[in-house]
This record gives sequence, structure tokens and C-alpha cells, in this order.
Amino acid sequence: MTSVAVNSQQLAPTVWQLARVEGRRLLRHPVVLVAFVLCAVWMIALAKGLVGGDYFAVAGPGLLPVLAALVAANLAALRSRRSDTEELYESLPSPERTRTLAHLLSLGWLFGGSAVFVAAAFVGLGGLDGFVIDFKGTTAVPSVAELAQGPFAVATVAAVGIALARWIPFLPAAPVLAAGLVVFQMPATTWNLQNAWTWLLPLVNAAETPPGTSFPCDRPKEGVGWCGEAVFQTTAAGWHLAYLAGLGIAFGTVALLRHDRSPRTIALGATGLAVAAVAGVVQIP
Amino acid sequence: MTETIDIAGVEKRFGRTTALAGVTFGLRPGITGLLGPNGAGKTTLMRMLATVLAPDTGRVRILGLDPSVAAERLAIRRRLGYMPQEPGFHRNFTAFEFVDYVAILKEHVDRRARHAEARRVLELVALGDVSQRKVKALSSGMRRRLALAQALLGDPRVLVLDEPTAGLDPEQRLRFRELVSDLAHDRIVLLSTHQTEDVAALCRSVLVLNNGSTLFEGTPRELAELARGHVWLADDRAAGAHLSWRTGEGRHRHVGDAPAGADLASPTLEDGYLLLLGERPLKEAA
Repeated sequence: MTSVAVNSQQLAPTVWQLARVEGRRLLRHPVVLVAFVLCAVWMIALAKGLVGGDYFAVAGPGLLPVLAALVAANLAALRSRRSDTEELYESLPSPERTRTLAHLLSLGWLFGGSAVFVAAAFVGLGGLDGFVIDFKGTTAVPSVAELAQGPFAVATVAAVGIALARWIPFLPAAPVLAAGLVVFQMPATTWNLQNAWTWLLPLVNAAETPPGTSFPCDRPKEGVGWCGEAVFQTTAAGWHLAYLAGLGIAFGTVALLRHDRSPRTIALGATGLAVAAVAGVVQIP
Repeated sequence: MTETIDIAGVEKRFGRTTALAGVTFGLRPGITGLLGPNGAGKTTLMRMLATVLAPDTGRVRILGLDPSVAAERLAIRRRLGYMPQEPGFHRNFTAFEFVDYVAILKEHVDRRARHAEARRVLELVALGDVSQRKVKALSSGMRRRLALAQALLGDPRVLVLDEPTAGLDPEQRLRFRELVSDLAHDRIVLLSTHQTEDVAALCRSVLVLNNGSTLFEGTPRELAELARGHVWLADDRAAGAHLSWRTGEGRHRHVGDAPAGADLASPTLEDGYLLLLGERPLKEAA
């Protein structure tokens, strides 16, 4: 007895109340908190020149909250299974679909938290170094589309975590996927910056690097330095957001398909996938 | 809405194992005790009444509603409180957070009213003082009371309680009896337990299951009366007794045939239950 005809008048408020609880718990999750703290420390160290400025060092901090979101959302969606509350929950009026929907909506809180973090980093780092983006001292202010990449990536990858929990409900699945993301993200952003497929990863940056190096702007040695074009690809970043949003909707739908295979849900998933496909191709500069 | 539960010819198999083999009974408002040895089919029956398990065959009606029909199942769930035998908990939630979470899933959507309801049920099970303590820091007895608290949310018309007193100390058990007896005067409570004294103290009716079949349905007094004339007190253990144990006073209590020189004793519900589950057929024992 898993599927239940749900009174839609009751479903919406139940989902929102549950999403509110889940969202707050997600933001307070130790993995998420630690990731944000480490990310902040890493970014400050970068801005103060305490750590090397190779490309992964620049892109790496953003990856921490993304990975944390994946793991925390997965753990939250697996909670009833981990805690053996499935039997109790099955006897309640709200079906599992309600909980899945609430977990997906709770990502709004994570998105909001990430946005606040990015805004704080924007203000803080601007105050620290005036947005210096290379060793020549070039300054540039990132666009909103680029700044929004962080919260979008966090929410999208967290949706992957929820889909994973619904289809592969095993605890190690999310950490393994997180490790996989690091494995793909690191070489992509460190050694193959100009490869088109790097744009399919959650976090990208359009800055160019000297051939054969991972530094957007190589540290000058004995007066000889090289700097790539330290430019921001605002248009590409905008398409990347659409790509992430499409992926997020697609993975969210994959999670929902576990309980709800209505034409409306399938259409939503197909739309998300189409947006991700189109934006995924168009975004490549 | 009919305040009854009716079960007719219900069967349930898990692979080659028959958990329920044509069980038939009816429940009215009041407490009904469900007794039976391990593997008798009690938990399968409880899960069925909690709408988490469907029968293979047979008819189940809860409050006049058919749980195999989705809309009616939902209506049942809105009037049901269920305490599973092994209730899981979110260990990092506080007691209040856990009950509040279940309350949301029970469609208590007004936050202020829901919080008040969560506090009410926690007070009912005497957990008000530890409501902000994390579940992982609660004792096993407190956790069982927490499981009971969530079952009481929303004042359900049907309470399905699977071994609610397991792990409770004597004082907590008495408090439980007090609470459930107060609740039961106008609603259906099905109480699965191994504690025959709880059944004797609380229940209006009793159902005994064995090997998936109904062995007895009646009142606790009628179950005790099954053993009338079969319970004896003697100075020595009798070889022919079905069951025999030395009591605190030093004499042996026998259930079965009379040993030599034995005095007839008043039967308890436990005697009737033990005799019922013994090797003798029911009609012979009666």
C-alpha cells in the first residue's frame, strides 16, 4: 500500500511545512556548516595570497558547499530509511511523495543560504583585495550570473542527492558520487581548462590559462610573467545557470518519478532535460 | 462513520510462510488485547490494521472504510494512531521535533496549533520536561513513550499499539494503563502485548492468535475461566502438569491435571492463556 490519492488542498500546506523544517535542518547540517566555514577560510587565504592561485585553488572552495549539499540532501532524503521510520510513515496520511517534494523544495533554503554566503564573500573579498583576479593586479567585478553559479550548483547537486536517495537508497552512494565529482572537477579545472566539456561540470570559469599551466595568470618570475585574458564570460555564465536549473529540475523529477509517473511530472522532467541540453550546448563560449 | 473494525477471513502469506490463515473478528470501542506467542501473526495483523500491509484475501473494514481503496485508506489514516513494535526515531531530532515532524505528516498544517498539539501529547506521556532533549539521549522507556506520543497526535479514533509497554518500568506501565484506559472509552484501541497482566487490567475483550489463526475471542474473564478446574497449588512439582512452577510462597502452581494432594486455585488470565496455547486442544481444556 504505497500509493494514495492525496487531497491536493491538504498536500500543499503539508509540503510547505515539511519543506520549511527540512530546509532549516539542511542549513544547520554539520556537513554543510563545515563546508561553508572551510570555503570561507580558503577564500580568505586566497585573497590574502596565503595559498597558491592555481585554477583549482580558485575553483575549489566553491566545490566544498556543492559536495556538502549533495551529501546532506542525500542523508536527509534517506533519513526515514536510516532511522527505520518507514513503517510508521506509511501509516500516516502524507505519502512518501510529499516528503520527496518537501526535500526538493527545502533546497530553496540551501539556495538562499548559499546566496547569502556568496553575497557576503562578494562584499568581504572586495573589501580585502578589491577583486584582484590575477598576479598583475587586474581587478574585475564578477557579474550576478557568475555569482549565482554557486547557489545554483549547490541546489542542483543537492537535487542529485535526493534523486540518488530515492533510486539507490544506500548510504555510500552520495559520498562515492561526491568523490567522483572531485575527480572530474579537479583535472577539468586544473589541466583542461579550455576543453568544452568542462562546461558540463557544476562549477566553471571562463578565464584562460597559459598553455601547459593551470594558473589563470602565472606568477611572474624574474620579470617574466604571463597572463591570460582575465575576462568574465557573462553570457556563458547565464547559459550555465540555465543549464544547472534544467539539470536541477530534471533530477528533481527523477526523484519524484519514484512515486509519481503522471504525464505532468514526466513533462516537467522532459522540459528540465531539454533546457539542460540546449543551455549545455549554447553555454560553451 | 461506523466505530468498528471488522476483519473477515483474512489471509496473508510471506513466501511459504502463512502469517495469517483466515482470521475473523470484530472490534468495538474499548481496549482489545491481542495475545499470542512470537510468530503468531500479531504484528502482521497490526500492520494490516495500520494500513501498511494489504491482505492476500479476506475483508478488512476500519471505521466502515475499505483500506484497499486509496481514498478510503487515506480517510482511515487520518483517524489512526499507530505505534509500531519497533518504532524508529530520528536520533538527532529532539523529542519535540520528532513529534512535530510526525504531526506535519499527519496534516497538522497550522504551526501554532501543531506545536500546541505536540506539547499536549508529550505531556500526556510525561515527556514534557525532556521535550528539548535529543532522541538519542532518551532512555529506551522514554523512547517508547515518545512512540506512544506520536500515535496520540490528533486524537485518533483508532489506536493500534504494538507492544507499547515493552521496556517500561512498573510505574510507567501503570501510567500507561491510566492514560490508555482514559482514552479508550470512546475509541477503538488494539493492544498487542506479551504482558497478560496488562490485558487483564485494561482490556474489555481479548483475542488470542496462534500460527496465524484465531484461537480465542472473548473477554479476559472468559479466557481466565478456560483454566477453571485446571489450576492447582501443591507442595511438589507434578510430572503430569502441563506447566508447573514454584511460587514465591514455596508451593508449586500447576496448570493441567490435578497432582496428588493439590488444592484447586483460582485461575488467572495468564493461566487460561497458557492452557490455551498448550498441547491440549481448546475443547479439552474447556
